[in-house]
Amino acid sequence: MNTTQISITIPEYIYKTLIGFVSKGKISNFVSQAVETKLLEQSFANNPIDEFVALSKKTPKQKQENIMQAIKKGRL
Amino acid sequence: MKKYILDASVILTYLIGKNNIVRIEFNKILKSQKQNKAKFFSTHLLPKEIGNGLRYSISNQKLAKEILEKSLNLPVTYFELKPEHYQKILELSYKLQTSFYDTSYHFLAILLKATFLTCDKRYFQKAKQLKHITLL
Repeated sequence: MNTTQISITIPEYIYKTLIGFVSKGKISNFVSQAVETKLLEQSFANNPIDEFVALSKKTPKQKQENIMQAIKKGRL
Repeated sequence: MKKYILDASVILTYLIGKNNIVRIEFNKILKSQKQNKAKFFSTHLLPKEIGNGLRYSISNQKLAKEILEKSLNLPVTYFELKPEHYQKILELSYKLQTSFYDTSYHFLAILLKATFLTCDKRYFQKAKQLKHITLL
């Protein structure tokens, strides 16, 4: 697995708690797993309405008349 | 709980239209749906009309497919209209001089004592007398 080295800043009390759980040599693995878990939680938290709203922010916009014509085009 | 009937004009105007007022107003309704204060309904015409609207307004097929997917994932209950309902829709569409398609959404709103949300100004002008309709 490819890895990337990063530098992060965390509150001291979290760090002290962290090194009470894992040895210094295993901090990267622990943090990586914690971040991955958090990211998975967030992706599952996305509901269809949030995704629908998010999509509206990135689509190119067009005139109302074009949309109405497109919907009705080809109706028998 | 408020009940809303959605048509393709609302979905597509929200996603690809320039009208920010529609986005603001529909955002409020989407928020109330997330809070379980509103429920969405439509007819089986909705996916076809969204698809047709995308087909003739967006040249980027990948984007069109994404919009269709996200639109069809919305929590919408599709109401199964019965033969007698179609008779009523036909009567109404003659009376209002509107299309059978548009009238079917509005009929469902009347049937379910709901509000039909649309961005179709022409239909709204012809049919607002029946109430149960809001132009976004």
